[in-house]
Amino acid sequence: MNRNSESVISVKNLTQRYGTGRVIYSDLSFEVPKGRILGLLGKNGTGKTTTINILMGYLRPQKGECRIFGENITGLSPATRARIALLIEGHVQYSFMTIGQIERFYSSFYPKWNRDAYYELMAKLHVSPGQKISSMSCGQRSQVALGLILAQNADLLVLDDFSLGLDPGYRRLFIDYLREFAKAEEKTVFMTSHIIQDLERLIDDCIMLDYGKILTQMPVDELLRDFSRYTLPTDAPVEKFTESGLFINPGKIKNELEFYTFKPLDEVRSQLSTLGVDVSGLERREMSLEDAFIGLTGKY
Amino acid sequence: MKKAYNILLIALGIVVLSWFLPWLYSIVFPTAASDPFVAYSPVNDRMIVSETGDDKNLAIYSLDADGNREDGSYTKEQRDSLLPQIYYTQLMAREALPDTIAGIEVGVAAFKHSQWVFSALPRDINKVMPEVYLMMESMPARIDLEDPKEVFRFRDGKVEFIDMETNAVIEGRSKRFTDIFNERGFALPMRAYSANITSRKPYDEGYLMVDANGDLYHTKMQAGRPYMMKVNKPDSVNVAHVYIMENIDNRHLGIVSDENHNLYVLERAGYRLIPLPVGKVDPEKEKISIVKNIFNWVVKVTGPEGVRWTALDSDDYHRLASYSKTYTESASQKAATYIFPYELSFTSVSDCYASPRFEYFSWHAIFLNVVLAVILFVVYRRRGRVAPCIAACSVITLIFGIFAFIPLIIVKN
Amino acid sequence: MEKALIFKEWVKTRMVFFISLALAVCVALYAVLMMKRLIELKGVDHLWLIMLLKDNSFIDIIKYVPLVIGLALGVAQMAPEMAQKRLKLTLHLPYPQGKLVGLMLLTGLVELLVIFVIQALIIGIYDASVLPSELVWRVMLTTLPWYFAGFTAYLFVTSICLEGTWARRVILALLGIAVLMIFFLQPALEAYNGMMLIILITTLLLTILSFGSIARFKEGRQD
Repeated sequence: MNRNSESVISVKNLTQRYGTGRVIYSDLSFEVPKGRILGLLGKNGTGKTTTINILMGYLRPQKGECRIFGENITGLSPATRARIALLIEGHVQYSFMTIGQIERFYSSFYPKWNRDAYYELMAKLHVSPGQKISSMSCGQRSQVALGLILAQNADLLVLDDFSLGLDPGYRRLFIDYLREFAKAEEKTVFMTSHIIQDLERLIDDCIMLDYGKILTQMPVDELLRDFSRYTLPTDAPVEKFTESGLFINPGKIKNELEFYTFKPLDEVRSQLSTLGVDVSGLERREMSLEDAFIGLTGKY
Repeated sequence: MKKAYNILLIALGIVVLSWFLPWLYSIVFPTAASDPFVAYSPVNDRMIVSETGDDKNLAIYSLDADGNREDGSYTKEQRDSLLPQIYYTQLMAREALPDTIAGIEVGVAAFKHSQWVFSALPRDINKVMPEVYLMMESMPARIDLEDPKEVFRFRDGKVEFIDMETNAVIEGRSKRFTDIFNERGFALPMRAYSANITSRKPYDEGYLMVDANGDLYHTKMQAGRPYMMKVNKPDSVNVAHVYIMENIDNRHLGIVSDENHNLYVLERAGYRLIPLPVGKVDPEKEKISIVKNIFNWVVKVTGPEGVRWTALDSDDYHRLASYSKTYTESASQKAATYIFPYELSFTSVSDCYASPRFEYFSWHAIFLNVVLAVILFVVYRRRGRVAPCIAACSVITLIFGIFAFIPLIIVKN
Repeated sequence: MEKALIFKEWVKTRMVFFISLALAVCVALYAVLMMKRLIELKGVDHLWLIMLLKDNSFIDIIKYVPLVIGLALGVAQMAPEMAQKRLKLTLHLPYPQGKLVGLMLLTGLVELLVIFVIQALIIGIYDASVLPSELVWRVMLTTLPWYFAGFTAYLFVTSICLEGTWARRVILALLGIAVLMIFFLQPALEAYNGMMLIILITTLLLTILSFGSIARFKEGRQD
């Protein structure tokens, strides 16, 4: 993953608990290299928003160190904050302002402000500059938030669950704009989402979080290439495969066994043989990112 | 900033609880004390006490010369006869009012004409007074007194009269009053004054004033012209407070107290300042009430610790008898001194100011303070606080007791 | 940047500001009208007499108005910040966070000051036309703690709004109620003259509360 030598976000040995109770994760470490779009994926409650809160300085980490642009996040300087565009969960913005007011408001904070990028997107929404954000639909508000992020022209974009509450059209619009912007300007993006199917078109790398740990951390194309789902008709009980520990999340529906693995087909076949299973019906299935996510985290 | 925030929060908590908890306690455990009624009998030359005991029954008894209760008690009818100056209407109804008592001819008119009541509360002088003063006309064109039309004030060492209707200075009157103030040697600023501004009184004596030197003056306006007299008094008497009196018997001009807490009466004839043998009285802290009748005065002085009565002869003010009662702490009040190391309040019945004040300090509370400090020490150790924090918070609890303990336990981090 | 920040506060509060201003002016005018009525019916000397003898300032009606305005403005300004954790956006602005919070509070306090000064001027100017300066000052000094109650209410309410946990909000609210009660304990005129310095210092110190709430927010102390 460290193809690019310069990492924009670096997280080392991050440990976080709910109060003094349940561990959200311990010793979490990852890096986000420059110019990459990284998705932090996980089920609800695995600590996605917690991680963003820590990175943005809204939660003091109990252990570990986080740096953004080399600066410790516990005291990010205004200059560094200016390089980071933040989208908070639910596309929250200053909804008491109008389209025009909010643009003027933010423009005075960011030297690289790109007014046209914002109004270009607004033009698509059929809203007037005098319209209050609070009177807009959820989808329109998401576009305002996106427009502001694009106009800010930041080096790092941190997006917390951008897909929340958006219908597919707006999700698609959001993703398309974002991808084009990020790729053209070599921006780094760190994002979370609970709708995975959209992300395949967007993210370069992914981190999959399970309760308390990182399951995998790799480029999406590598993941989709190496991680596979297999099916096999067999009479053998599923416990046989679960107990062997050779495969990921084995499950059985009627007579068909389903399991996941990073291992190549030959190795899978030989391992199944050692378990004394007839492998004649073994099949490798194509997978989407969502399938891979479910394969790694399990359905439950 | 975080540290300042925590300190502020704890400090506010201590201040609020120091005020609130004792107040709450006094609401939950109310203490009601009522003073007995004490009068002096010209019939048996004794103080007569009427007291409602804890059993809610009225006890009427007399005191000997030392102020001790004498054997036996009186009925209400007996009391009426012993105190004819008070119960003359009852005696009249029973046709039991004698013609003379103690050699003095009596009757309803004589009683009525010679009696008055005086009362001075600390809160009447302990307040911010307006610095403009209403002036009545003492000799109105018609017989009846009228509401004042003018005020005066002191400005640049001069007396300035203002017409209320126009809010404009009355030049002539101002000059005449300034001249007489200067002539009489009145030194500004005025230290104290007393006037009784109302048209519902028999006559008007204007103002008693105390100047910066503690000298006493009598000032009024007669037919628009100033009248001012300086009261002769020994140099050693430094007047502190004055109370003008305009009673129907016309004999006294006022009650005066000095810096040494002596009480005087100012007689109108010859402006005689006569000491009253009632002991030390501080009008800023004690309530003074005087019930005067044809035979005697009963001066009652109520302070925070207790109350005392002195009976004086009406003619020459010599002391006839005295009696005092010390307030005892109730069990709940006593218990409070073991709980609260002090009590903070912002107001008081004896003044009209709002300001923080500590009512008492109690050493008894140190036991509880120590216990609370130990508990806090243990709790903070368990919470894993750093040593300087534990030490500081324990010491604070030791000093402020329960008032600090509660916020320090509640406010975590 | 400062201009933009003040603009943001202004957008949030302007509605409440104008309503409060109207309320303050109306109540002041009502107090003035009552005095005028009394003067017409009984003469101006009657007004003086009541003021001097009954310790009546004729402005008791404005007593709790600054308090209510302080509360309303505090809520109007800070509730939108806490709704949906919008404060995260504000704290993310490339501007020193301490200065930013200070500027927010300053904007609110200045708005309050403007309302209070206008109200006090209406009463003061009218009083000065019928009363001697001594009594005008007496009235003004009597109202001063009420205005400080307004600032105090504002500062408590902002800290409560910016606080992220309910437990601490309750503590702050209870403290706020208790501190505000102190401003209304003694109805006598000019009773608070001797306490003005303490009130001023306390009010200044209370600004710390909002900074504390923000510091706690940044530590992640949120329900």
